[in-house]
Amino acid sequence: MLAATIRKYRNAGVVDRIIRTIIGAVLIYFGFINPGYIGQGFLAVLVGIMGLINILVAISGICPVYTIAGIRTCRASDAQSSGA
Amino acid sequence: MLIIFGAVTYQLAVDNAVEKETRLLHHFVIKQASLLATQADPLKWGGWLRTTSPGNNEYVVLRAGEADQLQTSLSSLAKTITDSAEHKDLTKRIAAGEHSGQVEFAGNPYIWVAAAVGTGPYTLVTLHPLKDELFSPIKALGVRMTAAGVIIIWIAVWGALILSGLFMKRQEKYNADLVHQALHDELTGLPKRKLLYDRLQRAIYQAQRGKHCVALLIMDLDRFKEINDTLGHHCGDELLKQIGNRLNTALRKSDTIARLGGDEFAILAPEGDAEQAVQLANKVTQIMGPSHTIHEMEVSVQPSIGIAIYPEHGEDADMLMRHADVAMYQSKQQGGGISVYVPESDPHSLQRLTLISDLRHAVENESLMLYYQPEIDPSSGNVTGVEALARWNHPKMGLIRPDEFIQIAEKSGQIKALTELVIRQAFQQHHAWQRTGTSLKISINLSARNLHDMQLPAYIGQQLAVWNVPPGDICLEITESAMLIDPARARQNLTAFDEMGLLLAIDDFGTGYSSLAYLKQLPVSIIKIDKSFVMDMVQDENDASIVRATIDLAHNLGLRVVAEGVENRETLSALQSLGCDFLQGYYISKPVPPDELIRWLTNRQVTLGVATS
Repeated sequence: MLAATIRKYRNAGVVDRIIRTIIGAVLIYFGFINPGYIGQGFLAVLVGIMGLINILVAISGICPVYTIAGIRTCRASDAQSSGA
Repeated sequence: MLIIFGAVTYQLAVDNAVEKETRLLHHFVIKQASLLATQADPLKWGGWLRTTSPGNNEYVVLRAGEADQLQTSLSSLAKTITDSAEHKDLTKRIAAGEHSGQVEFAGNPYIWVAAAVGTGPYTLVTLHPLKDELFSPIKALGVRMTAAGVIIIWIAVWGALILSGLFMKRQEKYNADLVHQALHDELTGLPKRKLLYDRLQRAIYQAQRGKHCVALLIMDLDRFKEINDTLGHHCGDELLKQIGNRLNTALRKSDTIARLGGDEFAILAPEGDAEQAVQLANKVTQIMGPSHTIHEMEVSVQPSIGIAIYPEHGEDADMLMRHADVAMYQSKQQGGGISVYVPESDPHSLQRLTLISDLRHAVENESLMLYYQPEIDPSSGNVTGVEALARWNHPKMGLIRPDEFIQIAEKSGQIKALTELVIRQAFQQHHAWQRTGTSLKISINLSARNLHDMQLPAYIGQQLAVWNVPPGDICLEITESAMLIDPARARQNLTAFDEMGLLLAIDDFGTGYSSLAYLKQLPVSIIKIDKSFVMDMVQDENDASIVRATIDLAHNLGLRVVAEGVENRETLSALQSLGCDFLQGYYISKPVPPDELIRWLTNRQVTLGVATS
């Protein structure tokens, strides 16, 4: 059920999700694992949260901003055929 | 500004970093000093111990755990500083009670922090190289700025994406609205002709594949113009809106109901044969049955519906639309109702269209001719005038009847040009006759639309001057029904003609809504009794009575009477005895071209001369 819903709203393509995973991992490293590098705690947490969001988007393939902006980096047929 | 701001920010950051470092070092040194007070071997601790009492040995203790390089530099430093001016200065500052500060030894900046060791004579002084630490805030700043920049750019990009997305959606909606507006009628919200045409075309393609029929109904409201004229346009609009609503709610969703303009609607049934189309048309008639309430007034209208079926009546959308239109006109001519297109009764549909364009050419090239039918005074037998009648000799179809091409001209908006051509030619002819010494009154027929053309009086005035025609020699003939359409404007034009000195005649008197009020009010001087009364007056007592009454009435009102349709000697004598002023008809002469008329006139004078002599 959840998987079907996720598939229905999927709008991030494979390349998109790989890039997001890399960016997300880097941000989480600086945000949570080694926050000393940034030094400022609040900033580090923000960076970490952004990393988390990226990882979430990469896993689900649904980017809320894409939804609002009407962007789709995956083929429309992917979402529709797998959603049906 | 930015540079100043940057420099100030940088300096503040550096100051802050140094201060913070000094503070940390101070805590550390105090802690160390207190520990040192309890330790036997001060050498275990980093720092530089000096006695407060002058003259005592001073020695330097290196900080434990420092890098080798630092140790070396500090140990060499320790050797050199004892005699240096800086050392003396530092000693003085410590003696004065200062705890910390910055000092430079051998060109390198250091933070120094001093703390008394217990209550003993020693003071622990620690030097901390500043250089590395000095640059760390910049590095930290760089990292933070990068992190903040990443966040800001991220948010900005997202924001931009969201905004552009929202803007795009708004634009899309706006565009969709525009498209809707372009394809739908503003008043009724129904599709316009363009959209109907598109749907019709699609329906035809589908019908081609599915081998079924498509029905197209075109509907016109009877007497809508009257409603518009009498109740006003807002009532007409309201009526159209209500009709649109009724149709929309009562008919199937798969049917397209469109407004083609004016009071013309179309219904497209994508899968309907003739039988279903007639049923649909019946339903529409039923829907329109109950009267509409408009501004608390009960108004009822009946539609005339024309039906065309694909593929029977046309293979493409154009053809279907045209044929449905023709069927609608057919039903209108039959006085309303429903009629399916019958190809046999419309042999001219294409011909008609060619005629329209041919007529345009004929008017432009002035290839229309005027024939003249003489009018005589029965008492003297003299020719008093002629009626100018347009004749169109079509290059392929031969002579075309005036009522046919005048109708075409009226419907295709060419009546103005046609009338102007007739006026010009008639005046030109009058001019030509005048030069040969023949003076004849010329009657010219005006159509209903000419009566509403406010520029016509000016045109006639100009042509009168050009051809030097006395206005009294020109008689304009109008029909009663022509005046009914917009009496106020018609009257305005008629008054203008009268003031110009032109004669005015009422044509076909007795066939329209003969109103005696008009006779009294309008500046008319001649009445032409319609030929339908005159032709049979010898046989039909009723017709004879009408003619007699009309002549008496006209004479009593001071008007003169022309009888049209005199076709035999008996009629001529009868009219003569009734005192009719002028006679016109085939018995006297049919309409003839100008040169023939002259021949006829000459012959007649000869015969008259013979008769009288």
